[in-house]
Formats: sequence, C-alpha cells, structure tokens
Amino acid sequence: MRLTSITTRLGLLALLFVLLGVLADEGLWEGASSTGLDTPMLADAMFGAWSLPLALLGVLLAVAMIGAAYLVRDERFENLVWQESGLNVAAIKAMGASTMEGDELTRFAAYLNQSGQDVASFFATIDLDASGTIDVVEFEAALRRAGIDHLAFRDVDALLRSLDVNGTGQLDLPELHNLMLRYGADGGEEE
Amino acid sequence: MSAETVSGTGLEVPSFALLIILLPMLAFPVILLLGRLFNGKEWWRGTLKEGGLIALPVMAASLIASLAIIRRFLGETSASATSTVMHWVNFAWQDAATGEIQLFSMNFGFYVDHTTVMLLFVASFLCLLINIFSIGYMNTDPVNDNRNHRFYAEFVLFCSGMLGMVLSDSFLWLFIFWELMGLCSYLLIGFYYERPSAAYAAKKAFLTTRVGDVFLVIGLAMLWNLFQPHAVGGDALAYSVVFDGANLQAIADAGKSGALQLALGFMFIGAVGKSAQFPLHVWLPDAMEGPTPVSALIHAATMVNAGLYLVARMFPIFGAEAMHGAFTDLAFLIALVGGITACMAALIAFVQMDLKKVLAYSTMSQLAYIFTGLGAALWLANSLDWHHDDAAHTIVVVAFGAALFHLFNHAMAKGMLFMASGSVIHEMHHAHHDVHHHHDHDEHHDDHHDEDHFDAQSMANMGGLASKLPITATAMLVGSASIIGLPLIGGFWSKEGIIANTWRVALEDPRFFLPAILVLVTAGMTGFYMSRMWFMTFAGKPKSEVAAHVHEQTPWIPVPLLVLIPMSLSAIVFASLEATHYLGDTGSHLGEMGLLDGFLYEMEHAFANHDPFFLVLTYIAIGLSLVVGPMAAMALYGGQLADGEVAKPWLKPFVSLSARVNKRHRFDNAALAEGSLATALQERLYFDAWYDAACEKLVAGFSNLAAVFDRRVVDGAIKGIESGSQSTSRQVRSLTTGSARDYIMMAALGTLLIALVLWGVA
Amino acid sequence: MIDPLYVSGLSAMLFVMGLWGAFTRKNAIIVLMCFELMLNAANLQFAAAAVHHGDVTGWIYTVFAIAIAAAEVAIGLAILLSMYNQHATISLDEVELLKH
Repeated sequence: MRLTSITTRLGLLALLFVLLGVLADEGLWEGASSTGLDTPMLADAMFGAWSLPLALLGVLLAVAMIGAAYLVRDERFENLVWQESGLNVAAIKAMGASTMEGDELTRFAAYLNQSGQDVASFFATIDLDASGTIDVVEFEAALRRAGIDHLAFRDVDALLRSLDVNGTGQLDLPELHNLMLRYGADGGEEE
Repeated sequence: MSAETVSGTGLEVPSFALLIILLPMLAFPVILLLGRLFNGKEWWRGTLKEGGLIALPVMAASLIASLAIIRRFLGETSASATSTVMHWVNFAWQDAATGEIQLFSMNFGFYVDHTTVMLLFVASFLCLLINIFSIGYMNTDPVNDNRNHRFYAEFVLFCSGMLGMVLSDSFLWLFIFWELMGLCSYLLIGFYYERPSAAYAAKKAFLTTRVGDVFLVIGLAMLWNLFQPHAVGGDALAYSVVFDGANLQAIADAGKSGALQLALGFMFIGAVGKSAQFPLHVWLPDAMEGPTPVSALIHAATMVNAGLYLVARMFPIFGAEAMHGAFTDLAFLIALVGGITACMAALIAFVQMDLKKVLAYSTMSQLAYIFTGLGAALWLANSLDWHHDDAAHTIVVVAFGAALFHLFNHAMAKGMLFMASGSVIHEMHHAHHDVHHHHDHDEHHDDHHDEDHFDAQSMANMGGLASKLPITATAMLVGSASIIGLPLIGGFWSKEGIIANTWRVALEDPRFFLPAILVLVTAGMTGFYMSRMWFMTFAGKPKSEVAAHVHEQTPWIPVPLLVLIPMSLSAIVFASLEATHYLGDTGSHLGEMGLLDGFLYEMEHAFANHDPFFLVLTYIAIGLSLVVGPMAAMALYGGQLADGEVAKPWLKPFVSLSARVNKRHRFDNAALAEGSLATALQERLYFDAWYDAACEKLVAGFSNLAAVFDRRVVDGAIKGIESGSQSTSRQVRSLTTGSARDYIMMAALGTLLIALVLWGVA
Repeated sequence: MIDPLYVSGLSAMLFVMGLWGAFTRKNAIIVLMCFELMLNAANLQFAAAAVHHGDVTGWIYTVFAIAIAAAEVAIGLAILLSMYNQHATISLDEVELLKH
C-alpha cells in the first residue's frame, strides 16, 4: 500500500507539472482582448442568449434540492419537532418502540428456581467468560436460555441497567441475588 | 517362359474366366444368408449339407472354367493379351493450365501365362477336392452342427480370393485379393472362436502377415512411384506396364534399378509373411487350430502359395535384359531366407508329437525349398545372358520350372497329407467315442477325465493304423514319399532340380553355398521326420486303446485321397509335360518335343547327368533323403503291427522293413530327446516367446507414452485453461476493493485517460 | 488586473490539491469538500480565460458550474446522511460491503 500511495502522490505531482506546462503554452494566451468584462455584460448574456439554459438549470437545481430534502426527511422531521417543542424525537421513538412485556424478570426468576441450582452456581453458568460479572451479551444469552427471546437489544440493555444498582453497567452476584429476592416466586413482594 | 515377356502379343483371355472368380464370390453371401435363414432345418443339414452342396457345384464350375482356360493357354509361350474386364476407376478432368482433358482410369483384367496356368490348376483343383473332403469331415462331427454354413461361406470366399489373385493383371489387384485371403484365413483359423487358443491363433496369423503386408504396401508404393511416369492416367502397377522392357530400360537408364530392387525386396518381405518363412513364420504352427480342411486348403495348398506366386510374378522383371546383373543381392536374400527356414523348420519337426504340427513345419520347410529354388532361378535369370544364349536360356527356364513344379508337387502332396491326417484324427475321435461308450455301458467307470484329456491328434496315442486305415495309410505314404523325394515319385523331380540349381549358382556366386548346403542337409532331415511321422502313426503296435478300435468309416473322405494319390504318383507325366513346354518353344535344338522325349530328358537329367559334379550331387541328395533319413526313423519308430493285423499288400513291405530295421539297429535316443536342443526345439527355438515379449514391450511402451501424453498434454491443457481463467478472474476481482477512495481514484484515472486521448487526437 | 496566466496556474494547483485530497482522505465530508475544491478550480480557469479573451461565455459557464456544484453537494450530503444511518460511521474505509 505504501508503494501505491507514493506512486499516487508522485503521479499527482507529475500531473500538476503537466497541467502547468500545458497552461503555460503561449498559443493558449493569444488574442488578449482590450475591452474588459463587466457585470452588465454578464447580465445581458444570462438573460438574453442563455435564458433558456438558465431556466433549465433552475429546474435541475430545484429537482436536486427537492430530492435531497426527501432523502433527509426523517432528520428534518426530528429537527422540526425539536425546534417547535423541544422534544427529543429520537429518544421518544426509542422508547415507544419497546418490546418489553413486563413479566420478563419474573419469568427469568422462575426459570432460575426451576433449575434447582443455587444462585451462585447459576451465576457461574451465566457468566461465560468467568469475569465475575455479567455483561449485556451474557445477560441476553441467559434470557434466551430461559425462553425470553422477544426482547430488542436496547430493551435488554434497559433491563440490565434497571438491575444494575451500583451503576457498573454489568451485573454482579449481589445484584443477581437482588433479582431473585424481588422477582422470585417465593421471594414475592419482599423488598 | 519366352525370351521377351511382352504381354499383349498372345491370345485373348475369354471372358468366362470371370466366372472362375465371380461364382465363388457370389456364393459367399448366398450360403451365409441361406444358412442364417434355414439353420437347424433337417433338409438344410441333410440334403444341402449346410451349404456344402451349394459350394460344391460352384467349385466344380470354377474348376471346369479353369481347365478350359488352361487348355487354351497350355501350349502358349507368351503371356495373354491385355484383356480388360471392367474399368473400376474412371474419371476425367480438365487440366486448368493446358485446358486439355485428362483421363485417369484403372482396370481389372486377366493375365494368363505359364505361372498362372500352374497355380490356377493347383488352386481350383485342390479347392474342389478339399470341398469334397470337408463335407465328409465337417458335417459328420457334431461339434460343427449348425455352423457349417459359416465355414462353407468363408471357404468359397477364400477360394475366390485365391483364384482372383492368380488371374488378375495388376499388382494392385494381386494385393486386393491377397488381403481378402488374409481376412478369410483369419476367419477360418478362428472358426472355433469359443476356444481361446483358436482366437489367439487367428489373431497371431493375421497380425504376423500384417507385418509382412506393411512392407508389401511400401514396396507397391515404391513400384508405383517408379512406373508412374510410364503409365500416366492409368494403373502403374499393371503387369503390362511393369513387365514392359522399354519401361524397365528407362528405369535402368535413370539409375533407379537399386530403388526397384528395394521395392521388390519389400514385396518379398510381404511374401515372407504370407508364406510363413523366417522370421515371420511364427503363425503357421498355431494356425493348426483351425479345422483340418482349413489347414489343408490355406496352409498347404493355396494361401501360402500366394507368397510364392508373388515372387514368381517378379520373374519377368528379374529376367529383363535391362536389369541384367542388378538384382543378384535380392535373389541371394530370397534363397538365404529359404535355406534358413528349411533347415529350421525341419529341426523343429523332429520333436513334434502332434500330427498336424509335423505337417505344418513340413509345409514351412518345403515352401522354403521353393523359395530357394526361386532365388536360384531369379539369380540365373538376372545374371546369365539368356535372351541370346540358348544354353543359358534352357538353364534359366528349367530352373524356374523346377521351382514352380515343386510348388505343384508340394501342393498336391501336402493337400493329400493334410486330408489324410484329417481322416486319421477324425477316425480317432470316432473310435474314442465308441470306446468311451463301451466303457460306460459295461463297467460304469468314471473315466470322464480321460475323455477330456485324450488328444486325438497326438501321435503318442496312435500306432499300428496301417491295417485299420488302408486308404489313409496309402495316401500318407505316397504323400510322404513325394515330400521326401523318393525317386520317380512326385517331389523327387522338382527337389533334385532345386538342389542342383542352387549348387549351380553357388559355383558362380560363393554366397549361395550357404543356402545350397542347408538345402542339401534338409533333404536328409526331411526324410527323417516324414518317416518318423508315418511309422509312429501307422507301424508298430497301437499305443492306446483308442487306436486299436479305429476303422475307416466316414464317406466322402477317401474320395479326394483316392484322386490325389495317382496325381503324386504320376508326377513324372507332369514333369515330362513341363519339359516339353519349357524346352520346345524358342527353337532350341530340342525343337518340338513329344511326351516321350520329355520323359527321357527328365530321366537322363536326373540319373545320368553329363556333368559329374551334378551327378554326384544328385546321388548324395538321393542317398540322404532316401536312405539316411528314413533308416534313422525306422530304427527308432518302426515295428511290426499288432498280432492278427494284416496290412494291405503294398503297405506290408514298408512295415516289415521298419520292423526289421528297428530290431537290428535300435538305438537309445533318450539322451537326445531330453537334451537342451530338444527342449529348445520344442519351444520352437524361442521365437514365439521373444516376439511376444518384444510386442508386449512395444505396445506397453506406446501405451505408456500415449497415457502420459493424455495426462500431461491434453488434460494439462484443459487444466491450464481452467487455472488460467481462474487466476485472471481472481486478479480482476481484486480491483473491487469496496473502498470508495479506490473507486474515486479509478474514476479520476479513467477521466485522465480519456482527456489524454482526446488531447492526442486534437 | 492579475495576469490571467497566474490565475490559471493557481487553478491548476488547486485542482491537484483537490484531487490529492479526494484520493487520500478518509472522512467523507472532507472528500466532498475536495470535490468542491476541484470544481472551484475549474471555475477559476473559466473566469480567467473569459477575462483574457473578453468573452462572456466563460463567465456563463462559471455560473452554471456553481449551480450544478450546489445541486451536487445537496445530493452528496444526503447520501452521506444515509450512509451514516446505515453504518454509523462516515469513514470511507469502514464501509466496504462491496468488497470482493
């Protein structure tokens, strides 16, 4: 790759010199005119001889703008809403599109109880890389093993955050205990 | 044989000669078709003998037509006129350059001269007789039921091939019929195709003669090349072109006689293959796998004579004045090959136990004799000034005549011998069945293993058959005597002639001493092995129970034997006829001779030659062949018949003599029989093994080469294309990096290129 | 007045700089800016030639080129936005779905 880049740069340099050489050719610069150009002449030409092409150009420009506007319509909508009411549409969209059903954690606790394992060994089976903490991926895998596979990734993330009391971003063993206490069948409404 | 064989000056060949060839050729599809249609029907088998009685009148008609032709040409001295029957290639075109019409036509026609007459008679006569024989032989053997039509069809096709070859007027047609005979010989040897040994033998015969045929084709091509300038627009291989004195003179003047000798030499190699001479002899003994009539016809009487006919056909070229002295080397080669084969075959025949194999080697040996004789005659024709000197003319003519006459004698005798051996084998088979039948009925023995291994062809199982098969025994006696060269019978006249002529040439060209000595020694050896064969089979006590029960019973078989016996006995008549013909043509001092004069000439020539050298030579040869050989055989294998058996009166003296010699001079040959020479001879001097190994290596080598070529070159090319296209596509694909920056660069480069082009254009 | 020759020379240098940037930069926005640079360089060239030859057609071309450049930028930025929505990145190196 280095070779290519060196070649490219040298090539570009060569191109520069070629261009300069071509432009320096005296034959190009003959016929210098004495009268200068001024704006009225430009206006005259634009609205005179070149009026039709100009109109077409305008049409082309309009079409391009409309097309570009269409391509970014979602972003423009978000901007408009934020401008008008200060709402963060993106965040609202994210929220409104929740896939949670409300009983996921209960089901997960029930699954743990049914397995008959105690919480510590259960933690060990969930913690795949044996790091001592459960991150989002491992949590999601555990949910799937428990039969809870309808959740979107950000909802899994939200669940984890709701369980993550100490704000590490990952679950540790006491937090799992906590989960069992709060949502376990025999745990019930104990708090 | 005339001084100048310029064809076109003689009689016209009548057009019914076409029937000789055409009738058998047309009978081929007829018999085949009818056989296919009516196979198994009673009337087909009984009345028409499965095609045998269709073939019989056809062959008889051929014989009658042949005799008519022979009668017309018998007294003639020059060859027939060029008689064209049909144009088979005929096209014309306009020469682009000169605008004139060019013609090219090749003809088929007849050419009859003395050689033709000789072979025509031999071929058509023996074909008919063997046809009669095979009706008796093939149709009474149950193993042949429902497939005899194939036999007879191939038989008549073969006969048409031989007759066609003999009558045609161009080397090209000779070759065409030559190949036809090769095909039929393959078909007939492999008649019992369900036997692997028969299939192998047929293949071996075909391939070995093929090797010779390659050289024949090369020789013919060279011949065409040499004679083409003299035969523009026509067949350059026609006899009228090739034998023409003016053409030969032109070739000699152009210095091409060496090339002509080479061409004739190649053609001779083709003859070597066809006539089973050294080194292409290996197929003949194996060819005995075919039924006995096939052996009789193809390998004794007709096909192997094709090679001899070819060499005999070259006589006018050898004898032409223009080629004087140019072909002595080739003549020597012919004689040498003949001499070596004669001796070698005779040696191998010493240890053969199979009746037919002895005859096969005997054929090889006798054909070699004829080659030697032809070699000597051709040398004489080429070296002596026989166009101008009467004495030389006589010598040359007589020498050539002796060789051809030996062909005649041998054909008659060998045909008879094969048919007689067929009779013996046939009766042994029948007796074997009878004995076996008896056993089963009387004693319920489990002798089945005996039946499987009983070899009806082995002389170890025969003995004492002189009393049981009188006609066959007589036929074999006369045939053997003819082959051995018993004085006054058959082969004697010609064999002495050949030996004498070879020695005559040896006196002038010392190289010829080798074949001359070989031929003389072989005379004695011939005496030995033929006598051995006869005495082992017909004298002494029966060596197996089967032999004791044999008796002559099959109809049709004795007929041809009875016809041929007087032919061999009366060879002196034919010899006299030959003498009058040869000598009575060019105004030699013998002039117009009568039959009696011819007879006296022959007798004098044989027994009371003027030249002392040849006189001694003759008597040495007689002594060797008559006394030394047979005596040794009698000492080893002679013996009185079994008690109570009485041989016919003319056979009795031979049997008694053998018994007496056996009693007095019996010696123990066990040391010889077990020795290394005997073993080598039994392995046929290892030629077969060596050829097999060489062929295997050759074929394997070529196969490996072809396999390597296929793998590396052919497969490699395909794989190369495949891998090439794959690597190209991979490299092109690597351009699509998916990176936008690269695409920007490519776009810029492209634009730059276009700008460059446009700027350059502008 | 400035010698049109020098303006031409400047335009050539600007063009090559723009080209260099288009080849080299990873950030898509920067690449768009480089395209603009190239267009600008071409405009300069037109303007210089028009002034030198006294032909107003050159100025007309300039106007047109500016307008077209504007349209092109609009579309280009929209594409950039879509790319970000898809891949969450504007680095051209990381977007290689079409890689063989």
